[in-house]
Amino acid sequence: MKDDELYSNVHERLISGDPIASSELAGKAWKPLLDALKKRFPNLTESEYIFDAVSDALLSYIKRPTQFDPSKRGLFGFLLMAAEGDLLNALAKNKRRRMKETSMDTVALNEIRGKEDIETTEEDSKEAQHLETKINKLFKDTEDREAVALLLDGERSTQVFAKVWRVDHLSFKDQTRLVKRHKDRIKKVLLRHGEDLHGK
Amino acid sequence: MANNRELAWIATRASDDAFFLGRALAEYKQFHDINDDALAVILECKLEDVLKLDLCRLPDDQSPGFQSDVRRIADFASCNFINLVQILREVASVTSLQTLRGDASTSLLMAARDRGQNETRKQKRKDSKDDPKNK
Repeated sequence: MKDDELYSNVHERLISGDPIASSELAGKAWKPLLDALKKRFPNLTESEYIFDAVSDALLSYIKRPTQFDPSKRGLFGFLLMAAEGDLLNALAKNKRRRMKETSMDTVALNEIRGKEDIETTEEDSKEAQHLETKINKLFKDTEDREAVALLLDGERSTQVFAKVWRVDHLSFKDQTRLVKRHKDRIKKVLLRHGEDLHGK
Repeated sequence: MANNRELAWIATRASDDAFFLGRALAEYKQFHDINDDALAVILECKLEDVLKLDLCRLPDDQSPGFQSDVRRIADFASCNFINLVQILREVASVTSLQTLRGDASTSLLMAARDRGQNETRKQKRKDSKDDPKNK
């Protein structure tokens, strides 16, 4: 079956309530959608934003297949456009959030670390020490502290974090789930105490 | 078909959504404190087939088509039909019980609140009668 036919067939089956159509579609479209989006946003190839955008587009369509009008365009084009829209929205939202709050999310942490690398003056060194002390106060577990250090270094690999939290023996899906849960928890703490961390 | 690692991301997302079978499987794993590997053993399938299951639509256990839907899913993901039905029935039962318990707690809380309000009203009426200004 050609791709167009397959997508058309899956669309019909989603509407009729076939329980496996969603899984078939995800298996078929996930990688091509990721590849197409990575091509359009080459600076984000390893970013979670890309994975989330493709997931959002697919899951949203699967739950409400009638939002797609086959008379207007092909399903793949529709999903790609939806994923691109979700990605741009997520990036814009993140930018607004970062501008609004002096947050300590990964990017902000990287910025601080970047400044330290460029100019390691005594003041910078004190600031780094202050930051480390605050982080140690916020996170009692050595695993969490190690994870924050990795975030500072710009690490994004799920497998690396999975080793830190000792879940690397689990399936990749369980690793992804648990790592995401831990990272969300850490980011929440960092966001909540972002201003304290910045303050002297 | 995308490979195992790639689909894990979207399967994880689906596991947070009650529309998908992945949510029911996630709840089952939580009840029994097991991981995907153990679930694959119970369902007599490969680990990558668990990802396929996660992304299927959750059949309605109250619908007459429930068994045929689960049969179709089990065939698609090459897993044990009987065990999958049992898992889904168990999750549905526990979820119903949790909902009932939640409703019961809400009713008790509302009854307690009503009783509290009635007693406050009675006390206010009594205070009002005892107030010399009202005599």
